[in-house]
Amino acid sequence: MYVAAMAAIVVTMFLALARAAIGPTVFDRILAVNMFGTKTVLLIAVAGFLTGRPEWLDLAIVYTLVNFTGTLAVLRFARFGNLARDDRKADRS
Amino acid sequence: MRLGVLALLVAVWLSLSGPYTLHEWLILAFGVVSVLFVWRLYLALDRAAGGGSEFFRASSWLRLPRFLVAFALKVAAANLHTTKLILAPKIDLQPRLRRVPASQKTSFGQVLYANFITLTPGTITLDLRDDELLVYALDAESEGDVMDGSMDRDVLRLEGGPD
Amino acid sequence: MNGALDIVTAVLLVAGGFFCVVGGIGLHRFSDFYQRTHAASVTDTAGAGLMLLGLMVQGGLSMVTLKLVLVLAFLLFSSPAIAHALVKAAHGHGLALELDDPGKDGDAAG
Repeated sequence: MYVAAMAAIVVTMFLALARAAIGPTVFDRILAVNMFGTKTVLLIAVAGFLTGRPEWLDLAIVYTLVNFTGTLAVLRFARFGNLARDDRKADRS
Repeated sequence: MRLGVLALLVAVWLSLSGPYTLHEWLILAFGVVSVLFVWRLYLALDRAAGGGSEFFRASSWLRLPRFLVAFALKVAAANLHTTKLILAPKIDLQPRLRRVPASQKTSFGQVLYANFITLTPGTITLDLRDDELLVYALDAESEGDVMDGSMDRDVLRLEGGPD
Repeated sequence: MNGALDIVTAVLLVAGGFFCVVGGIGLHRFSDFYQRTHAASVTDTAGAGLMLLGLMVQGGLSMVTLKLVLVLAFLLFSSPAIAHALVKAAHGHGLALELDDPGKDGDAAG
């Protein structure tokens, strides 16, 4: 059953990667990459159970948070072309 | 509330690394430092947001289970409907934008409501401004729970409003 | 290992996998970006939720289950935040919203 679940996750990851490659807009790509990251978290968790090493869940937790921060950073970069600028004025527009 | 967040942070740290390492003074020190650092960040953010997190009083925690059940049921129903839309032989959508009032008193409650809508497949919050949400929905059935105000009431009930 | 619990886990994992693939298919069948966010939200809620629930059944009452609950809680907080940030950025960027009934409620939004 773990193998079936992992197969489903891997299929979804390929579908998400295909969407990230096709685009057409940058937002489609970010959405697909974020979905890919969520699937990675699930893959780590299920693989941990498959191999009998639930300690991998710590990696899953960290990956969840890194995925969240990373997606926001890429989105910000795509929008402002800069990660450090104070965009409080730009946001009001 | 502020001490509640501190207790929550300590609980999270304990559950992730505490029980096996409490005798290691170095790791314990790391834990204390990281908990205090995150708490300091929370206090700064809370002040920047104008203290909007006065949402959870002790009584709110008691109402949480009922909210979670209502939440799970609504999300499950929306998932089934969106799955039907995706797997339909012909994609047939009537996308629409709606303005809906967010009647929660605290800003935390309004954000929770907006997140609730976004999390439900078929509806997504575009904007939150002046106690009003801008909601994008896939079709008439998807927006049902938002338009009849039942999700609004769920969050209101958690906030301590009328039943 | 308990036989009945294994069956519950298997059902939940397969159901979660089904919703994951459905979301992946939706990502390709829907025609514009705003619709695709809904497909992604199917995998983030039903897919991830059912799979983690299935693993929780295996974990029983233990630290493992607590960590699974934490993963699920983080996912349920981060996925709407990401979806909202993406949609708002796309809308603010001027990506066209295709509406069935334009001008009724969605005018002057942004």
